[in-house]
Amino acid sequence: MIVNVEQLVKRYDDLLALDHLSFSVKQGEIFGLLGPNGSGKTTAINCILSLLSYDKGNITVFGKEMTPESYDSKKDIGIVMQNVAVYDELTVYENIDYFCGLYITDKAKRKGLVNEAIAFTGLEDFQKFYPKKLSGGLLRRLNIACGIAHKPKLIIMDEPTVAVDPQSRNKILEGIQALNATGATIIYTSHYMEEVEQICTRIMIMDQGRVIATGTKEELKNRITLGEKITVEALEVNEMQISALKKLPNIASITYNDKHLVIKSQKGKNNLEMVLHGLKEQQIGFGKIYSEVPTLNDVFLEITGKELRD
Amino acid sequence: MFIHLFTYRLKTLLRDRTVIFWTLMFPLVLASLFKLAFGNLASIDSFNPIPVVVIENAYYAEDKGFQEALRSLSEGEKPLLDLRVASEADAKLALDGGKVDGIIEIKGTLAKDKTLVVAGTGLGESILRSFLEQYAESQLFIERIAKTNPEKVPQAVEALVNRESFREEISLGAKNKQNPELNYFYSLLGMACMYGAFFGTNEVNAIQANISTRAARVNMAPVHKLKVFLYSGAAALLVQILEMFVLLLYIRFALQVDFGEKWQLIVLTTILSCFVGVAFGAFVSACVKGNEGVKTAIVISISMLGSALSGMMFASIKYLVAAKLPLLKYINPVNLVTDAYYALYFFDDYSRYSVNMLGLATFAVVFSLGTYLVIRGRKYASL
Repeated sequence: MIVNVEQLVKRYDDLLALDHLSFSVKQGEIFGLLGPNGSGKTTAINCILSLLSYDKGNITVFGKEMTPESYDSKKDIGIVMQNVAVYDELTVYENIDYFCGLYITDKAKRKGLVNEAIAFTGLEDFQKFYPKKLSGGLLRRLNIACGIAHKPKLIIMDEPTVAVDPQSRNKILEGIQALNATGATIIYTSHYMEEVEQICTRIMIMDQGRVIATGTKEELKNRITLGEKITVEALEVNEMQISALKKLPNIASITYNDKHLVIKSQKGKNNLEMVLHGLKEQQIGFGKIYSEVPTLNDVFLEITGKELRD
Repeated sequence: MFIHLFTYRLKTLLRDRTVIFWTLMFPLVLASLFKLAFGNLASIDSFNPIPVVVIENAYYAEDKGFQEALRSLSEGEKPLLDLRVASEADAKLALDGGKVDGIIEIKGTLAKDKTLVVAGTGLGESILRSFLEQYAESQLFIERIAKTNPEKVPQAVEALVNRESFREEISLGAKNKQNPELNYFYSLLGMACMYGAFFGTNEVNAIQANISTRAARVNMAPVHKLKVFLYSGAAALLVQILEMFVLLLYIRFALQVDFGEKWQLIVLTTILSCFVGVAFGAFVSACVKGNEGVKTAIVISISMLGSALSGMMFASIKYLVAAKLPLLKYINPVNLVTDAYYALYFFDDYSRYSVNMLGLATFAVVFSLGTYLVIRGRKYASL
């Protein structure tokens, strides 16, 4: 295990931020910590990094207890903060070199690593730029470069794509997968379920400081009853027709709003085909039809009763 | 690691235009404005003996020791006092008419019976008060000896009659003249030293994970944060000292403000004062919960208030503080810096200078220790 957290409890006065949180991260994983804002993701990360004190529990990193003095472990950890953490007075190159220098004292070796990080994050053309001259996406890439230049074995990324344009976001996500391919284990926190689904090999969903569910995205989706969501553009549908559709096999719920019929089905084969047949039988005229498989938001919704985005 | 942190900190500080403005450009501009405003003060207000009147009565006639002390200060090439002896009515008329700065009256034989009435709070009044207090202290000392060891009284009286210490302390260096503009520049230097607090504030902000995310990143590195603080702090101190030397040289050579001859001690004073300034900022940043804006506001407020109380805006405030709230002059670091330069210029004797330096050293220790105790924590309750 690269990281092992057992029964972690953290309180802020009356607020229980982490409620007996337990999880582990294996070598080579991209481990996603998914949860709404305030669910305890960043608190958990800060406890793992030994920045925050906690009330109860055990944390080991690389098999050793993590303390502020765990310099051996810290050498192999890279951190990419939620907020951009660079010096405005230093250029892109200097910022990466400064933070890398806290880990690597050999100047020649460091130079090579800094150049690699610059190439990796695509900042070659901006080496002499000051952060204030960079766009939001480039700043995020600089933030990442500062965290990974020393080639850590464990990289912790706390919402690294917040407020980033889609193009830069895709570049960042591709970069994370590339880092993972080089052997780095990654802990990735986000409240964007699409990102987590896209890159994480295993996901832990958190809410109110507790673990809601852990597994691969397929495992998580298999835990819920929702099969698929079928949306039908229909000009006119009456209550009798809806009642008739509800009697079809595997149908969990049907709503009709704004000329859109939303049919949620439980797991089962040929749901779409049956719905199409039902629409024909009930003589419901329809336009476009969309069928969506469950998302992690559906998983969260079914377990907690609320939307991940709430 | 030292060179890495030190050089990058130097780069960061020297490129921080806001800090460089407040710590270097602002004092330089202020010094130039002072020169424009007070440049002629020395020539139009060169030091004159302080006019004082003693009320003629039986107690004064009998107090030979006091008469001798006053005589020694009102005679010679550079007399401190312009002494007159007059009746009570004439003395009051002279004071009301602004012809004298103060009236000394002896109402008995004890130390507490020597009184001073002044009309204002200027330099003259302050010197008169200081003289009388010091004399009264000595007399009180004699009175106590008379009670406990009567046989030692003649020796003590002799010492009092031949008293020279007050005159010695205020005696001017051979080349140094009273110059009312100097205090403005010395207090400006005091303020500039305390503006080193900007650097100290930044240093603590750079390592406290509960203040900035950059600091959290530093805390995650395999380096002790106090090491980072000390190495980076050394760069900050160097920049502050260099800036102060630029200011000092500018005031001395471009603005032609005299500092006397004791340059080695002036340099020492400047270095210690810079350390106090940087340590003060670090202490404020460590102790005050709040964002950087709040801390900057506190640093500027305290520095400006300290400068005002040490006479940067109105020279008479310094004397008013010395007269009414003497403790304040010792707990105001700006005043300690100002007074240290002042003492080096005016006094041959080093006792007053030493007191100021001791005060600054105490502040340096208190601020450094306080900062250490706060920032030594390695984990935070909240971020």
